[in-house]
Amino acid sequence: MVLGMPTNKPQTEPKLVAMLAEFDSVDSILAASEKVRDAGYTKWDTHTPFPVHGIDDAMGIKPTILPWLVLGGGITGCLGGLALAWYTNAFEYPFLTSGKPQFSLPANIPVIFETTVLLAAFGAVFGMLGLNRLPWHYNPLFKKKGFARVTNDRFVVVIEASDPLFDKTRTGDLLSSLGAICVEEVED
Amino acid sequence: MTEQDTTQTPDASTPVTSAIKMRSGKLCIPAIGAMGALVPALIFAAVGNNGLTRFMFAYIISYAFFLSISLGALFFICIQHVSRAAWSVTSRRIAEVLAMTMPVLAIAFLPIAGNVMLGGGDVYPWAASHEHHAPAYGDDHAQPAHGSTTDDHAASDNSENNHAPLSASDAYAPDEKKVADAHQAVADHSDHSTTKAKSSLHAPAVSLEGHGHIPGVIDAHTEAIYTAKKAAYLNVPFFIIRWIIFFAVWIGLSFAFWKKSVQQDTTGDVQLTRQMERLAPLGICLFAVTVTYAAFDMIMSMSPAWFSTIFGVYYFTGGMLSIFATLIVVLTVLRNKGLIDKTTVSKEHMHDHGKFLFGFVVFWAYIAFSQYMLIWYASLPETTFWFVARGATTVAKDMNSWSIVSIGLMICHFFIPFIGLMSRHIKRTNQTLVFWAVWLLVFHWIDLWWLIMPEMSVEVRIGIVEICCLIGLGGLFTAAAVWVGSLNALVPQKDPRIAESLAFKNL
Repeated sequence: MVLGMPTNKPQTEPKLVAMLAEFDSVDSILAASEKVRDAGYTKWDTHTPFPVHGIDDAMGIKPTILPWLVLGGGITGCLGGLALAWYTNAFEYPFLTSGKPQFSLPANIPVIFETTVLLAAFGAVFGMLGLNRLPWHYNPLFKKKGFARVTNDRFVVVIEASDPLFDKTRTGDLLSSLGAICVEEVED
Repeated sequence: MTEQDTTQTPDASTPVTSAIKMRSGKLCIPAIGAMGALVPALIFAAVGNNGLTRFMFAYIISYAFFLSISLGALFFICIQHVSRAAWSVTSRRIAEVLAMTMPVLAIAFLPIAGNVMLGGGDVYPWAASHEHHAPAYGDDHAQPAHGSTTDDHAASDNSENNHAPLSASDAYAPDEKKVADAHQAVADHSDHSTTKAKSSLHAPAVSLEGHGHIPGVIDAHTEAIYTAKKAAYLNVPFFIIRWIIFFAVWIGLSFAFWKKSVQQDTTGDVQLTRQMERLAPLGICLFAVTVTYAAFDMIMSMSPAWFSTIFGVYYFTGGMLSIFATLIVVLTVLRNKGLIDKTTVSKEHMHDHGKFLFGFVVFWAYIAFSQYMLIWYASLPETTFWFVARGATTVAKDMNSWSIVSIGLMICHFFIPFIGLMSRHIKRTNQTLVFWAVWLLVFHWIDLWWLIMPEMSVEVRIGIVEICCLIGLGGLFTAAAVWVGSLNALVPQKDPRIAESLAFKNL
């Protein structure tokens, strides 16, 4: 089960979904992230009140594939715009405009440019939403009082229970050993 | 990808590593030596067909090239202050030094001013004094105006000359009679002076269509009419006055920015930053006006009948593209020589310069295409002839010797670098970034060559004169920049945003 995804069955018994550790500085969360990364965890995340330089490397996040989605959108828009210009003006309804050829590249470039930009932007926006599985209205983390401070002055590491290396005791010990202010269990 | 560097925020009070001053001698002497290349340029031009005219055209191409870099540097500084940018602080000094080549460029403008004042009209037809009314680049467009049709066809045997009328009559064979009429009609006027041409302004018969004008070719007579209409602007005294104003503005601004910035190296006075931030918006306004008219004067007025309001932006775009390319090259050289520390101007800063380079590749294409499309779409003979002379057409029969350059620019100044610079990895790898910077500098020069040379030659013409002028003016520009660069530290020392700049990172 994906963390936070609503389930149809009402659950009677709370289920452990993640372990949460709070930190109080950029340096401590960077150091902690490196340790968690080196321990081999894959299903985990950090939450910070502001963008932290170097967190990507500390967490070992691989480069996103988003640029390729944008490129794909752009190429689709380019070819689509070209096809649109050809289909509408040269094929389906040939119409002579100011003595120009019916399929005339200079006249079509503004259309092609716009459709390229439009679909590239769609690729960026919807690609980003899709990769982040957004919108996502519910997350069991919201139940935690301590997690609310992540928008103010707390830095949080969350390791999900679905991680193959997850073990309540060992994961808890690891997080405690990293200098966390507190380590909590997240239940749903 | 990114190195594992810790985010240490350096203390603003500690001097930046690159307080090292550059010693000017090492590079200045070869640079001054390179200026000697102007001599063979002169000699080769003198023995060639067009003599000094060829030299002047070649000189202006390379002059416009280095002026655009210097102007780009000035605008770069203004923008950084207007936006109160921190990322660029460590690279800003190099731009300040490059902008400070302006006084030397003002001196290098003297041959152009001299050419205009001598009134030969060989480069700028509007500057011709009354005795030589014929535009001296007559070896292309103006020829049909002198003499009968038969003379024309005879003359067209000397390959180069008369290319335009020849191809035109080939292309519009059914109109041969009309063409002959047009030539005859124009020939009737050809012996008259400019004053005569001016008076014929009132004769409605002399319009573009009036004599079965050949599309795509502007004859001397039509050009004289259009030029005469612009005489209030395009005249020698006003030209000189304008350029004095341009250089006063440019030198004033670049000196003010350089001076205040260098002063801050010792005093660390924050007020100096405030002053520069107040000066920058004014600088941008003055810059916009002066660069627009400078581009009109120096390049567009070579074809005085032609007009394109976007032309100033076109020149500006090339300048911005080339300043980012130049900064990338210069910063890389200084980093590799150890004159600027690799953490002071880091991979992150270089990446940002690369982003701007990429951005201006697109902007250049946008502006170039905007200029082309409006003229192409309206298809008015008084504006299309400029593109016809450059063979910028999709119709095979209208192409000429310049067509390959026009198409080549589209591909090599836009498509190839656009794809080449797209990737983040390429912008973050120094070798590839420098490769594209040099590539774009080369094509920026070719762009200017394509703007200027067709006004002299209907055939593609590039040779030792152009190359020597590039080397010669390049030597002058480099010597000036290295000398100014040796007067100060290569990185601002006590800028209030220096710590922020050093800690800069792309997310």
